[in-house]
Amino acid sequence: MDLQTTVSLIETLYSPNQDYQVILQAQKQLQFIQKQQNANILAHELLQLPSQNIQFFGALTYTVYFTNHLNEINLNDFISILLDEIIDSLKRNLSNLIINKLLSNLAKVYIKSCNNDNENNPLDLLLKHLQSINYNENLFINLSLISSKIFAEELSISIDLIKKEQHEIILSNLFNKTIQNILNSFPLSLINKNLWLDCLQSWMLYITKIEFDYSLNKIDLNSYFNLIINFMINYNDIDSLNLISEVYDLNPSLFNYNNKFQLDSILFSNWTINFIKLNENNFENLSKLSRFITLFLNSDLLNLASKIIDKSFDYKFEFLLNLTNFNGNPIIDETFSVDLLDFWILFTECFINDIDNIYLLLKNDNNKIIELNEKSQDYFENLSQIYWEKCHILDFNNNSDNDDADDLQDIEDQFINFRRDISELFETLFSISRIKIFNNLTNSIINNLSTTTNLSINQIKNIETSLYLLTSISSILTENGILPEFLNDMNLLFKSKFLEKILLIENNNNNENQYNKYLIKNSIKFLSEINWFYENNEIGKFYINEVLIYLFQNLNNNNYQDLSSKAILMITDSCRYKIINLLDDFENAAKLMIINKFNVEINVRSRIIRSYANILQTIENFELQSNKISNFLNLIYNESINAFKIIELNKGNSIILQDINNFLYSMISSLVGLAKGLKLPNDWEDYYEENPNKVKEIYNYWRFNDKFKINELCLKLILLYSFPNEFNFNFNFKNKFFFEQILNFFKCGLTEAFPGPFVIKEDLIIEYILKCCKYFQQINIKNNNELFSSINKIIELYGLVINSYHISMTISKITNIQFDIIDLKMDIIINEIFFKQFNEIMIDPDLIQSIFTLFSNIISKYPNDLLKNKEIIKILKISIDQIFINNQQRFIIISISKLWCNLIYLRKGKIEDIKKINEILINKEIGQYLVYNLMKGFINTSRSNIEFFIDIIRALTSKFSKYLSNWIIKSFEKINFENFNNKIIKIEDINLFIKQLLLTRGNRAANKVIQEFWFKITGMIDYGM
Amino acid sequence: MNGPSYYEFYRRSTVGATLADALDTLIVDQRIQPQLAMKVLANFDRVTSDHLRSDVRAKMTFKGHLSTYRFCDDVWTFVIKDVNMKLDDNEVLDVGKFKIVACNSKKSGE
Repeated sequence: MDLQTTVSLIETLYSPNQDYQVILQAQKQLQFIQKQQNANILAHELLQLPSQNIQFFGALTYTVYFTNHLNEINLNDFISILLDEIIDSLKRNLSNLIINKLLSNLAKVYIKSCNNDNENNPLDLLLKHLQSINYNENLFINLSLISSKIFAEELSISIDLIKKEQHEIILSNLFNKTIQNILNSFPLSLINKNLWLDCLQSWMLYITKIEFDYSLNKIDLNSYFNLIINFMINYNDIDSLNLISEVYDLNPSLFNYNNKFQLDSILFSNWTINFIKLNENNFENLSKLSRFITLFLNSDLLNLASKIIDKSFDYKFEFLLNLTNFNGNPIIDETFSVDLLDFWILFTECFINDIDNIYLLLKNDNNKIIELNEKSQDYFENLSQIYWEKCHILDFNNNSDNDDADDLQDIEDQFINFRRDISELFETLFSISRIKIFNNLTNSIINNLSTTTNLSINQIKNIETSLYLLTSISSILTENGILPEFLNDMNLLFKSKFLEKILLIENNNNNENQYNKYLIKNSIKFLSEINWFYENNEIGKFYINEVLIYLFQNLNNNNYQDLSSKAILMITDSCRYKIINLLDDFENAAKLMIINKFNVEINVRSRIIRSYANILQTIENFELQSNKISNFLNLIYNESINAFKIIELNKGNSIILQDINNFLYSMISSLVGLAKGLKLPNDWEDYYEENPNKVKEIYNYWRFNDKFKINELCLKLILLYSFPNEFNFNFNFKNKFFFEQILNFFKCGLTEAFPGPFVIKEDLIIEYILKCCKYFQQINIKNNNELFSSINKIIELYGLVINSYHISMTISKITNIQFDIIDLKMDIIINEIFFKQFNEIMIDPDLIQSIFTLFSNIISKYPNDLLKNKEIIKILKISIDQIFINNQQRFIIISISKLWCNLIYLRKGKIEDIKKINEILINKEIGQYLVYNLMKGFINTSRSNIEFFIDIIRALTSKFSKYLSNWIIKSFEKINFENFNNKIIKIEDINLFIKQLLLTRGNRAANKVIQEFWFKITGMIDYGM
Repeated sequence: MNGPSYYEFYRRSTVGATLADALDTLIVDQRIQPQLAMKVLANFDRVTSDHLRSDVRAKMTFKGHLSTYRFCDDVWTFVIKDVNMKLDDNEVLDVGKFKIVACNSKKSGE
């Protein structure tokens, strides 16, 4: 191709707004040209042309030429050519872009050719030549530093391709001879600062990498680091500070003692104070300084910790504490407290995790250890005081400097994160000084509330902060960690009537402010984190009523409903036995939630009803329990009937209909809340071990003697919500949210080990499932997402029934309690759910996934029941078809992969089941059909789905290795014949794959074999995932 | 400037696997070369790691029963059962099994 055509193609390639196909075509042609034997000549010719794009392409062509003809060219000759090109480009003042590309080529060739320390390196040759022709001095300095940087970058890119010996040669031949010479000859100055720092940074990175990866001797860069440190000191230079920070971040051991000492001296000196003054309004620079201080201190934490007793270090700790206590609000006015927090967390953690090592540094001298503990406690006390102040809520609304809403939100988010980190520091400080920290915080609340007059904003902020931190500490307290002092402090806190006083603040303050809101919210959070206080001692038990009253009072306020209801639920769940006396109160509260259609969120209503159920669960008298449940269910039923009636009267009014819909939803959610609350609180095995007789009583009452027939009442409610037309309403259900709650209700019972008020027998649920299926079949289902979702729930429900029945049988064997043997009606259900709704299911990926998950579930529990189904071949063929048809649908493939793995391994199968599956796969030729579709899907699926195909192939390799080879060969014959993707898979590749696969016998090694086969046939590369 | 090398394990995350699938499609369509795909994934490793370190502030605390733990090839693995997780904003999650894989934040060479 002639030069002019090439130039025209390059211009096409780089010209904007070109058609994609045109660019692709030009790119292909140019790539072809660049790979030709004489591409080096073309590269030279292109570099001679005036256009910058063409020149760059010329430099690029040298790269491609070199990469493609590495073994054919003489590297020394090629270096000479590149040197000539660079010198020529410099003389012609070509753009830096082109010169840098040529220098990068030179570095690449040097890396390949450098085998001998005695030879001159090309960079040296270049610089000497330029000196000999009296090249402009400033340009010469710039070029020296840039080329040094480019060489280091190229070395870092190729680091893994270079052997250790070669790295040694490069260090000696290039770094020691040339780079050091450059850095020494043109020392760091204001003029060359950026280039010089970039150059050193690149070499520092390369040297750090080879030091780690090849265990090469440390290269001493300290003379250069010293220059940078001095430059930073003299000019308060932020770029130098950045580089020093980076070295500390990557490899602090690169600094020698002298440099560290110098840094240590200046950091704790007036230099830092001056730097802060100079950068008073530059948060970014100040943040960089504090980041560096943190990195510097983090590099030697243990030693620093041991120096607490050293008097000469006192000023350093004072300095750090003062810096942390920098004037102003964190984030808004200062960032030191924010940036240094990481350091303090790590530092204080040393006193927990590494205390033995600190003692070792003190040579386990008892006197020193005592002094260390005393002094560290003092410092930490001071630190906790500083961060307690910094933890005070900021005034986000009155920040005049930041009017922008996004900025305010950003500051608030940052502050919330900062606060959370402070709580982490307090958790650590609490672990070191438990009694003191706890006592300080509780005292602070008591003292600030003790004033008789109206509280100031500051006092409110103090109380809020202490409550926030106390909540955080309380959350990590466990039963074993409770000290009598904590109980005493808590007792004093409750005796101070702090909850009443907090409510008074809220009520007295007409102008609702954000501090009050934070205060109330944190008081609620605190109350929900002190279960250890209520649960295990008499003092705590005494205050539960007071706590619940406080929480219920806050339930009236929309702002706190959610938190309060969560706290109430948590307390009633864990302290249910201690509040039996409140049953009537909770019953009233729960009823009010239903009758008054109280203006609360659905979840809040459900939580309160569940709280009532938690207490109700503890009643020993089953009849009384059942009576109360029955009253409550009747209440829900009657209110629901009333609501359904209103629907009929307001069919045209969408707003009223929406309100009623919400109310009905909350009623069915209340049923779920009741069922959840009445579940047995513990793991069934523990419960049975602890109360074997009680379990028998439970069984007898709920199985045979329940006078109030709770099960029937529940089913009546479920039917009302599922089929209102059967209750003389002129409409039917179509609300997937109702259905979701119905499933949740059944789930509560199906996951219970023993009979109970809400444990509906499996055969009744199966009847319900069949009724729903019949209903689905009557209506036009297409494009009705609500009903698709409902079918999905029905399939899921049947899966739960299978699991529950399976677990019941196991429990029956362990406890000798006779559970009913029921007919799972599998054939009928499969027919109703699957075959009669086949067309609907097959158009919805979620339904396909659900149905095959169900089959897979059945196979793992009752394989015989499914294998004896007369339509089993049909079911299996449908699943096999899906492997190819839906090979990109990850969740379908996952469910089918699980089904087939369960079928092939048949872990719960008896001999007759194994015979049956063998017959299906071998005699009925389903095995061949499976492998054909499996391979077809496999070669077309995405990389992220391969693992699920691999699972089936491994299972087949393990169990049907005798037939697999033949199945694979025949499958690929057919696939090649069909030529589906215009791609023929070579027979030798298939044979090699089979050979390697069978050798693995389906073990883990098969993963790699199958994966590599996928790479080979798809032409993809291994990303190392 | 070339930075340190990064772990590749985020490639197995949902977003990483999806990116790999997308790159495969581009390769099949001959819109990019495999080498570029590798570069993109290397960038993904770097960006994911850096952003998780610098930008992600979310925290989670948990309580549970430590079932298994091991330290092999500089990688800690903890399997925890019956876990109660507390997320930011007091959201609580209960999970049966929970696996933590923890590597040194500074990979060799970094």
